[in-house]
Amino acid sequence: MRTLLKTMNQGFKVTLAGLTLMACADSHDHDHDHDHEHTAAEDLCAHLQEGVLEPLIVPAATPDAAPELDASHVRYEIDLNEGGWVRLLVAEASELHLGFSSTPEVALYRSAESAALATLHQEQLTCMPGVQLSYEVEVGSYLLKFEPASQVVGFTWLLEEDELHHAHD
Amino acid sequence: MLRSLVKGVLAASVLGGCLEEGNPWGMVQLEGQLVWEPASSRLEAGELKTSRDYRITFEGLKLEGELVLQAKASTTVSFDPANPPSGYSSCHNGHCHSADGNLVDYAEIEASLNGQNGGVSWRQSFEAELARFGATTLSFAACQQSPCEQDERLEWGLAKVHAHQVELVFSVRDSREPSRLGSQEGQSHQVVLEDVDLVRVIEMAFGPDEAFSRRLALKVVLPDSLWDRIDFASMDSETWVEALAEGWKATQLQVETN
Repeated sequence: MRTLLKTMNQGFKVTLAGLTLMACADSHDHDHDHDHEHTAAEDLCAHLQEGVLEPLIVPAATPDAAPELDASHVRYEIDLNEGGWVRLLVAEASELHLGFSSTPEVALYRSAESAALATLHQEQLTCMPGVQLSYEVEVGSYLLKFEPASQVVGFTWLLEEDELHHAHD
Repeated sequence: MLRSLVKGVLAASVLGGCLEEGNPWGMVQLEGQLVWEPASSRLEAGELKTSRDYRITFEGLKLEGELVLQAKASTTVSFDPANPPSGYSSCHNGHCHSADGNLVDYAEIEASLNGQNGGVSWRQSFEAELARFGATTLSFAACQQSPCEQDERLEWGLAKVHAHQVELVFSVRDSREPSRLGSQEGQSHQVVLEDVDLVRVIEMAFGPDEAFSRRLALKVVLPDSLWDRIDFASMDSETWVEALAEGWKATQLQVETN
């Protein structure tokens, strides 16, 4: 039985890999189309669907102990079981776009003592039942506070300034 | 003066299509700048803000290095984003993810790939010093006041700036309350980075159908993010010097030739 499950699991992985490769190939076709400008939502979807997968993140109970996420354009998995704090390290004053693979209860703070930041923009992702949240940010660290939920959420983030830089290259 | 006159006559004679035996294929004049001008959003009261909420007071930088021009390889390595080379993954939208977590442009990956298979090289040492954020001239030991002769008929395909030594002096404080630095708050640091390379693809040929007098202008642009990888409170000094060396890799090398 265990062998069968393992085989099924491998089969699933192969299928998933095939789908991912197809998705990548499609994405790369777009790369050569310089007239096509990617929207933040499209890029968030691309990274949530086929991004470099980082190790599981477990939010901390206090802001001081919050795990630091410094890589944009990758996919993190965040365990929301206990809820808690995660810190984002922002290197550009820009519009910050957050993408989640579901719709967690989450708020962004400049520091643990300050009020939650207002979103500039919020919309459902079209590629999955997730959400995009956008904020105006300065250089420095920001805290995400997640409410407890029995799920692991996929998460990625990017800065508008980076996107413009790469679009102009 | 006499030498310049001789070179001028020489240039005129070659431009006239009469290259004589023993004469160079061309002359190259080097120019260079070291630039560190952080974005206004990075600066606050003269201090540079890091993504980990530290504030850096920059007190000086000395750079000793050399420019290495490398002949264009007979075969160039092509870069396919769908099949990135070892150390890179998830290539899309003009950039790939490197194993060390950086976003790297396609052009830089191509440059580094082709830098591994070059042939003949030509080296010129230089130094530069910055006392505050801004720009300064790279002082080349040669080819600056008087152009240098290019005695070989070839095409340069790659420019590398090899920094033998980068000496940085700065102090750091924490903008978070309470400070994570304790007694080290405001402490001054002197750090030396050694043997770091910057690479750029160039097109510069010397030969019968090429211009005789050429100019090569380098610009070494230091990144706003140099200190972003460092957590001064939790890293020991050896680790954060390594993190600083990683941050240096985001330095841009811009090259103009004509």
